Amino acid sequence: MLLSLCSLLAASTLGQTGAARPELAVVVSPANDVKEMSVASVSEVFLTRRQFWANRKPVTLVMLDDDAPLQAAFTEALLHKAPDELSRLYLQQRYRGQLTTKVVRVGSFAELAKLVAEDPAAIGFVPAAEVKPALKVVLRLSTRAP
Amino acid sequence: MPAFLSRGVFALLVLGGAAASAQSEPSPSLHLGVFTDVSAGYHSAPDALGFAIGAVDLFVTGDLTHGFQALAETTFEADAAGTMGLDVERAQLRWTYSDALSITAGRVHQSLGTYNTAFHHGKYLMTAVDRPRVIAFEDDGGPLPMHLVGLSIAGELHGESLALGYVVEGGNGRGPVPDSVLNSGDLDLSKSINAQLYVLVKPIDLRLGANLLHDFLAPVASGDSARPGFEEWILGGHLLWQHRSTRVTAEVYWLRHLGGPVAATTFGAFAEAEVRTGALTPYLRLETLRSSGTADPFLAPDGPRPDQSIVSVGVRADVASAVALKLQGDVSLVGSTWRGAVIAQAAFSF
Repeated sequence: MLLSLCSLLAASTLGQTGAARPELAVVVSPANDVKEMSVASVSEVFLTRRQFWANRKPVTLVMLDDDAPLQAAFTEALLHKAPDELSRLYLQQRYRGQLTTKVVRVGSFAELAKLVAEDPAAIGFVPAAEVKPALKVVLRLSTRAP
Repeated sequence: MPAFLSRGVFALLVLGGAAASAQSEPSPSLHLGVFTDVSAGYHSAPDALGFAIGAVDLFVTGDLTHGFQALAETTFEADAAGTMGLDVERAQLRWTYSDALSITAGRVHQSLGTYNTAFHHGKYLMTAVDRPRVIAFEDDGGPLPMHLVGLSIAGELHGESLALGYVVEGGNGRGPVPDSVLNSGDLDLSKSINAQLYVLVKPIDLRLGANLLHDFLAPVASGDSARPGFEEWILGGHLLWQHRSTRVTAEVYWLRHLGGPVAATTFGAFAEAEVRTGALTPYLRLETLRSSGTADPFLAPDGPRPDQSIVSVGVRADVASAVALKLQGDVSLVGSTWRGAVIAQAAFSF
């Protein structure tokens, strides 16, 4: 499974970034007070265990659609979950009436970067090679085997 | 009326007031969902093979402004005779200040353990085909008060490697019979009070917690459900371990009814383990439900119920977005009688 994931990653990112082993960057808006985050704290945010920033603003998660290969790479590498498991978790949290985090799906990294850059409460991920000056990197993440 | 128009009108009715006073806040938004399921099952006692549709669960949430969220869950569900009935399962308004504080008012699922507040009436989200018996809903014969009409205050205080969670709830107590939830007032001045505390051990993804509930059930003087008044105590403990694709849940409850000639204890517990591998999630569940002491005039007015122990083995397959197929086998010992069941279920949401 790991081999197939790596193959999938390689195939999908060669065309996008020219890198065979994609490194992902977790990004926020420069207006966000957070300077850096640990793997554990980013996981807590994406798993909706923490739904507020320190300044009490509700988190906005900006992510690709489930069928995007790099979405799977991100959720597997960081959260150890398949994309559909994560979607089920968000549905469950909403169904519980406890989803304060806003979950926004986009179709491209360009769209994701624009939304994150404009929203001080947003967090998302992009290939490290595609980080723009309008984004602040709070964590770099290898999508290789943990 | 076209669907988009009716949704828009409903959204305006529900959310319009909040929107008008919230210029700087994000716009209110409405989310609609439906959960339901279809099952086919063989049961050995009585010997029966048949199909069943589960509850059709209409679920609406609204993200209002200034930290408010609204939720309504309504189900259409068939009774044993096949007659469809309508139930408002939850209707709640929640205000969230931060991770450390939220206040919810309305009809909620009571914070007993983790399962009751994680999985509601839609079966798509739960791994097994149905709830454990000890936390079955009141109208399915469950012994515990799974719904509460009142107020719930909850939050989590996070540290680097630990978090402490709390819930304090108060509201109407039980009705004259176990499956009546008091939606429009209580029978007495005494309120049901439930407190839950838990700790999250973050490095190992473990949650451990306990809860204590107290209520006084007023006497019912006449009618079929006439009974003395007595105190209700519920002590519960829970464990939840969610690490990567493995999930283990265990909950245990002691329910005690005390007062006058009544000293009845009901003990129930379950443990459920699952491991997701690709689209498949095999699972195992062990359950027990027992009673002791005097006959319980509330839960078993017609005489003591037989103790039961159940072993369930199954597999869930997530075959498409929001579609799950489940196959489960049960072996149970009810009193001194062995029973078996095989259930196939398609559970979905849209």
